[in-house]
Amino acid sequence: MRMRAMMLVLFVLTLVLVVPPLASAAYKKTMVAVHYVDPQVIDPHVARAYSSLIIPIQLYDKLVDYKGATTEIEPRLATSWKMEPDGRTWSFTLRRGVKFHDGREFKADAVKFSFERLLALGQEPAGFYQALDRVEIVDDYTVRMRLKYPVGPWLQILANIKGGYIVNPNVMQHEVKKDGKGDWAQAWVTENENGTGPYKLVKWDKGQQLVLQRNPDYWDKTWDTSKALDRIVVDIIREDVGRRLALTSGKGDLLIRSMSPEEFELVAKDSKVQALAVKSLNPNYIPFNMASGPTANPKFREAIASAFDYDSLIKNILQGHGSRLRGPLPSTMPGFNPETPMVSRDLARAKKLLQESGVDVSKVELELNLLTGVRWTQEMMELLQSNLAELGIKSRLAPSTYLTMIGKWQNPATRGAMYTQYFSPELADPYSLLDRVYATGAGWNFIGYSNPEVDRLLKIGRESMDQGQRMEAYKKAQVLVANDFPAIYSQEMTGLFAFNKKLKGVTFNPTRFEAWYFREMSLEE
Amino acid sequence: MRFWSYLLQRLGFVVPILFLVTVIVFVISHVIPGDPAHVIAGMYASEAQVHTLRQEFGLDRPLWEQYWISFRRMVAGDLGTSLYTKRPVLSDLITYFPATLELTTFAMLLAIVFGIPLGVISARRTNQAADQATRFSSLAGLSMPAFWVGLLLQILLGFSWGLLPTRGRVDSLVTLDHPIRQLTGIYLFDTLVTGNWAGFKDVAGHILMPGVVLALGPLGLIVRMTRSSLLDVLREEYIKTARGAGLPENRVIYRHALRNALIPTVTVIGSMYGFLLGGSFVVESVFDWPGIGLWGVNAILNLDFPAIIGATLLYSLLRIVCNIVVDLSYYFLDPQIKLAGKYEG
Repeated sequence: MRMRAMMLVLFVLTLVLVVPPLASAAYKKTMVAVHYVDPQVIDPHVARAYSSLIIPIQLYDKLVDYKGATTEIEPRLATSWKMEPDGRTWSFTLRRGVKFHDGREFKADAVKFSFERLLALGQEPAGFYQALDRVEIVDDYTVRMRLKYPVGPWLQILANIKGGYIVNPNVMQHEVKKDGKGDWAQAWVTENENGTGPYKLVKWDKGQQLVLQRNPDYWDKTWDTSKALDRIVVDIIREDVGRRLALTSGKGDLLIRSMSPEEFELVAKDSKVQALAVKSLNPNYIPFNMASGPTANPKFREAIASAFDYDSLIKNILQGHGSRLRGPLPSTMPGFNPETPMVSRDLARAKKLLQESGVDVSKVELELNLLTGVRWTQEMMELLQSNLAELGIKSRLAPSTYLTMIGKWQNPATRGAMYTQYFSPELADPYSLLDRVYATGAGWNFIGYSNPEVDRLLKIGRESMDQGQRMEAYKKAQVLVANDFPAIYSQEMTGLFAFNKKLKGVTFNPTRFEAWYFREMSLEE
Repeated sequence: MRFWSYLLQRLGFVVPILFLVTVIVFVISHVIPGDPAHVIAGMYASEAQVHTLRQEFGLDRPLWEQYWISFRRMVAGDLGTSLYTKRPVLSDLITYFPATLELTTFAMLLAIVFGIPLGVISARRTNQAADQATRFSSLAGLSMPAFWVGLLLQILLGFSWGLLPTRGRVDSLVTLDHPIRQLTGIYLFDTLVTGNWAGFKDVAGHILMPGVVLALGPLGLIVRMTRSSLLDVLREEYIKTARGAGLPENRVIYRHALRNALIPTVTVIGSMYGFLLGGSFVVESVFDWPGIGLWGVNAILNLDFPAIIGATLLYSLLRIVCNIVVDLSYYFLDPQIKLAGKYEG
């Protein structure tokens, strides 16, 4: 009897605690953006994943940026610029009347500091800036950048999502010195901010939520603040289903991440949801190990590429959301050459090529490396397996985490035969897709690709100041690359996004895949 | 055996075990392919930049030297710095561990508070309706995957009926207006003690679903263990004697039988608590609960060596402490241990 009474009391107590949390004082223009992972690092000179960058891009400005949905360059903290004929010196006139979030005036010293910091930290965002030698202060509102060698897409690089952010020199108050070496305030800037951007970070509950508040002193007077979002809550929901449900139940207004085809089809039917399928700049492909094993044989590679069922991938696995990739560059990329040869499935031809290659398939078992946890990638590699089986080639899937897969491929001894590669180019320029992968010895050239003629053309693309000459070089290079069969060029990715129909101004810029500018948005009542 | 020598003997094993754990984890994490320096340096990095980062992280030194450096630091209380976030690993652990501690403790309390009485009811009404119902539901609790139950509850209680929040530990908008003073990191406690009623309601609402889901497995286990061990004890001679002497049934059960019946249950509770404190990754994932389960998995995915070692050290320490506490609790639960000690001493 006592036991039962106790249990009843406990039960009632439990119910009493179940009170739905009261909504806080209603902010008229609050938007809930649903993210899939905690950003972990919001230092704009360190963060490398777009899942992290989505936050600092709201908090900091660059000198220039890509305008809206285009790849046109627009002035931001720099109002005008000039390049010297030798291509090694760029002068920038800086915008006046800009304040950092702590009230400090933005001047040339902040630009010098920011680029010094970027290079000193030497992490991924600095990768594009290796040509930068130094930044000189001419006067309070003029800086001069000296490059070690001319760089064709220099403005594009300054506009891109990685690296060129202007950070308040005041952050150095938080510098930590260890063993006599300073950390450039990295530990502080990892989770705090001090920029000039349209939003400020007011709260970050790690792993759960971030809250951004509009900067009332933002320099851009063309920004219509009567419509602008005053507050953005970034909700972190790791599960696909949870994110979708948040959107359809009205708890979320924008899904930051591109969805799987299945999830997309489910939300597209919802009348309150705007479903957006956009062509991106992202190529998806399956590179071969060109340095060792049977895949070092060009005819063998061509045979496999001719056996892969590209149409089935797009129609059945991606449910129509994707398009054929013609060579290493997507068709949306400036400098794309429509004459680039495209391999299509031709099983008879594949078998013939296999025979010509001279590879004895009875002695072959190909290891296919892929990422765990991404369903369409898994299905794509299973499709590849079945296509390989049609050629009598045995294979096995070896899924792993991203870092482990990259780690395996960095070491020639542990590489498999093929792996899955997907890129989100930061520049609307072939430089961002070709150099890092196809230049001999390049940082992301895991496949051992080396073609001296391609190297020569890539160098022109990198260093020439003549845009016409650059694009010509890239046009030739991509044809040469395609003819070497370094990969199965499987598809151009289609971005699948969904958001509240009442959310306006959701602007997709292909150089910022999944990294939206909240300042462009407004939420109708 | 005397209490203090019992305790000392147990504690004596802690340091060697932890040492062994660090060695094993260190070796394993360095054997997995993957170079964090190369990834952090990024796609455009030159060899020189990668090399600089490797030097900075100390990854260019021989393995034994790397271990020795981190071991010396650990002994001094410095668990190193996360390769990725640059925060001290210890401060990350302090940030994320209270969330796991709170959730796990809440879940275990639920499981104990409901489980033991249910187990007793089940044992007293063997094979009757109450017993059947309890046994069925405890089996269900043990068998249903937490992932599935969690999602189901989220959909029903959260998205469809809007009764409870579906994710996280707090609503940032609520805590912006009613900030939680971080006294212990246990939000239920911190909000109550500081009179932050709005914060308390928010936190309580958030912990309910993940707490219940996490409690299901332990609840099922505790019910079954309590029931079966109580049934065993109730068959003992001294129970027949007590009943024969005319003692009221409640006294027989609660004063005499339950104490002995609880011994195996306590072992299981302690063991489960230690295990769950390592962070239930599944529940934390489904409910976006910012605990060390999630944090530890991120450390592994990022190949963040100092963080991986820090996390593993913590898990090991927790398991060891829980086992010791359970061992010591026998002292108070089982008079025979005390008596044996006194006899020998």
